[in-house]
Amino acid sequence: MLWAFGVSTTSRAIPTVEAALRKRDWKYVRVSDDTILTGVDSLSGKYLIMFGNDRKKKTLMLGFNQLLHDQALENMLRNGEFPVFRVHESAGDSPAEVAAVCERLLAENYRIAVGRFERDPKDGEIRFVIAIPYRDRPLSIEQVDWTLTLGIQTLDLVMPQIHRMVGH
Amino acid sequence: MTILEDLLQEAGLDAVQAGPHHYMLTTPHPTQILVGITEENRCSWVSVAVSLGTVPPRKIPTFELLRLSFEMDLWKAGLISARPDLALLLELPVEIVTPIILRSIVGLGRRFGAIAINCLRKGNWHILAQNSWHIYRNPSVVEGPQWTEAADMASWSVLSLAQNAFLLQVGEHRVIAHQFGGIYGAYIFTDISVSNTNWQLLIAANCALEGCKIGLDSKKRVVLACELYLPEDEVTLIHSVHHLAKKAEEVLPALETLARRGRDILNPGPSGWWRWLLGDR
Repeated sequence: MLWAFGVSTTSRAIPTVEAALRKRDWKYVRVSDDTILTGVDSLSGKYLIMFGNDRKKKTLMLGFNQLLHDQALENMLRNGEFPVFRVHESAGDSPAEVAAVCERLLAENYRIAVGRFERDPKDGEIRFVIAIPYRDRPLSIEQVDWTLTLGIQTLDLVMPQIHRMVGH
Repeated sequence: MTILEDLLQEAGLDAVQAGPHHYMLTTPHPTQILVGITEENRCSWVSVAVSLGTVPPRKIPTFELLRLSFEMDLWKAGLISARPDLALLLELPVEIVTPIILRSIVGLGRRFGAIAINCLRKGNWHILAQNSWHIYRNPSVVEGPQWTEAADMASWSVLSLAQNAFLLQVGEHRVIAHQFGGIYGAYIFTDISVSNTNWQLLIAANCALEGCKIGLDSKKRVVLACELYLPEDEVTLIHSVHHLAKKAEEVLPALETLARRGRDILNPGPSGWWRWLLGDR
């Protein structure tokens, strides 16, 4: 399990996230006590953003997934797949392209100062994750706001390059 | 020939003399790059200055230079300063500047200049200021905790590498730590090189890591890193570095085996969070 939510301790993390999103006047859905789902239509595409609060570890996780364009989205939904950007042989990418993208994401992980790229080897899903630990001090609205901006800007820089590498 | 002329020639950089101790590069580029040699504090410094013309407040890529200096094993390099009339000024002690290093520093300056000019053209300096280099100086950030004090509290030996960059000895691990603006980072550079057949496993291993990440430097060496934004105090830094060292204990043996045997021995980690969200656990 990537994030183990649901340990019952008091946390102000999710209300802080809500306050940050309200400050931006963003729509969002509070999926559970510790999960908020939102999204953004950015320069490089549409992104689904999930805030997950791990109370036990006192860490707020931001997960970013790029959503596919409308036609691909419909096809994937029709096939029962979640419509996020993937780099995988089953998505028509060659082994060389997959390897090149993985190498590139690892290089980006080294280059960027905050956040990391991951790829699920099962289906090639690519996601970007930022963790904000708040063990030693409460989470602030500014922290959430800035992290959100940084995440989107990172994706705007990196994702177009990844798309060029795989041609879709 | 002067030291600087030698350096420029060996680095393959075409330049014309622009002052007693300065040369202007003539290679076509949107930025103007001035390479000079100066005497200061009884040391000679090779400086690479980048000019953009109209220059808004600068953001200095300390961290990129730190990385560059580390990759080149320049443990004490990386002094950077800025002046009002320049977008960027990178300075290195003349003793450590080889033609390759000079070319790299010039490349760094050009890269910075190109990004800056692009942002200026688009009227979006904010992007550069915030993120183009993933380095920024947040004016609202007050001075935070210090790596040196954290090292003192945790009884780590510490060596200052550059402005705001340190080498910490944490158990068996040598950790490079930096602080800039509100961002604090700690890095363990390994000697592990992984072949291209294992990049998929390596990026997948990130899924299973919490609070740190795996990356590849320009020499394709594996790097373990953790970063913090606006930590409250030294205790947070100590926690983070201990966490990184602990993860290194867990991950490095597996990576070494992976590098040696080239086999799938890493747990690729959990499936996507969205599956959890959809109830498919």
